[in-house]
Amino acid sequence: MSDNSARPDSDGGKSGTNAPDIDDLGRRISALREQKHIQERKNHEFDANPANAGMAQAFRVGAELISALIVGVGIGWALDQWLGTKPWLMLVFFFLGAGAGILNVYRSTGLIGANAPEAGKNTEKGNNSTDSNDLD
Amino acid sequence: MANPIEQFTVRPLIEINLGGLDATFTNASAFMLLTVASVTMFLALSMRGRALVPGRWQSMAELSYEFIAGLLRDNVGSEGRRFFPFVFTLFMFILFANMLGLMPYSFTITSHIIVTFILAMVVFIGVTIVGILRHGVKFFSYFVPSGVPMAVLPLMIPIEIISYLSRPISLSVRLFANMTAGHIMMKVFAGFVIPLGIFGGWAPFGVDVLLVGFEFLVAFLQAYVFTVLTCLYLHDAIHLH
Repeated sequence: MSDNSARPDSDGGKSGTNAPDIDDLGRRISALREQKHIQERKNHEFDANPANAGMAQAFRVGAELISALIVGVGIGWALDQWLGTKPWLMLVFFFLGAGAGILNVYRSTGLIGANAPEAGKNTEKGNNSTDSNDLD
Repeated sequence: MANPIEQFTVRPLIEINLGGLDATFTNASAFMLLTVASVTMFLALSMRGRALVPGRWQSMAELSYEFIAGLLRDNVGSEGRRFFPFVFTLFMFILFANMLGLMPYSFTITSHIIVTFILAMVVFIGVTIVGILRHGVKFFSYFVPSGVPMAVLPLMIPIEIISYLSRPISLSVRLFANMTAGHIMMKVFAGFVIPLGIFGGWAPFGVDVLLVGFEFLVAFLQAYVFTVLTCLYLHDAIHLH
């Protein structure tokens, strides 16, 4: 009987001291898990389906490349119309758009998302990918 | 031979004119309504039993819920929970629109760039607002890559901005191009079946059978890709880099 009555008391005391500890542990576990998930998503490609990986990737890379080019040329054309500098800004923005398109492709294929030293080893553009590693 | 593009024509069903604004109810509007209705029916009817041990329909509904919840958890993290209703709606709408488009005589709303573009713009503008609300002016540091020499920054910032602005276009073009290309391909092969006669017609027919299976895969995959990219954009807006 005395054991029974003592238990809730000691339990209450325990949970009182333990609660912050457990909360802290939970927080740390969830933070680590989140980090792991993000790392995993960076390492794995999301539609690395072997059956049609090539086709899907071709569509994706093509869309990434073209869309940035469209935006670049569009901005250049609009600025030209506005400022009356007929061909020049469009030319400049064509190249900026091409650069952005290549950046898009680089990111979407996960060459930048992966950890930097590995990307540097695997590609000759390692310098580029380590530079932009933080962007992703 | 049947015109392979004809399947994409938008036909007016009920002419509606709202004070000079053309709000005609077309076959596209009809299929959007059908998509929304079938998603709602699917979820409402399959969850009606609320069984502890789910039946076939209920497990399909639960599976789609858990699929998107897992996607958000993996790609956005715990902050992504708040956006679950939007992302789930987006995924189900695109998935059902793609799937309904594969039924014979139906109309594929996602094969129209304006539809996919509006969907992508909603995501793009929404994600940008989330980013600005969360980080204020600091959000614009997203366009300034860190660890880049000062001399290259004038070049990198416009490229980053163009890259960011190209998101809705690549998002919409990808879905639109996949759906349109697939449907045209099926129609072209189908158009060969009858002209080639009883002996030659089996070859394009066989190809079409394979293509239908492939298109179901594409229909799911494109809805998935759209959703995953939405999640990644949300992740970028919430965590910046």
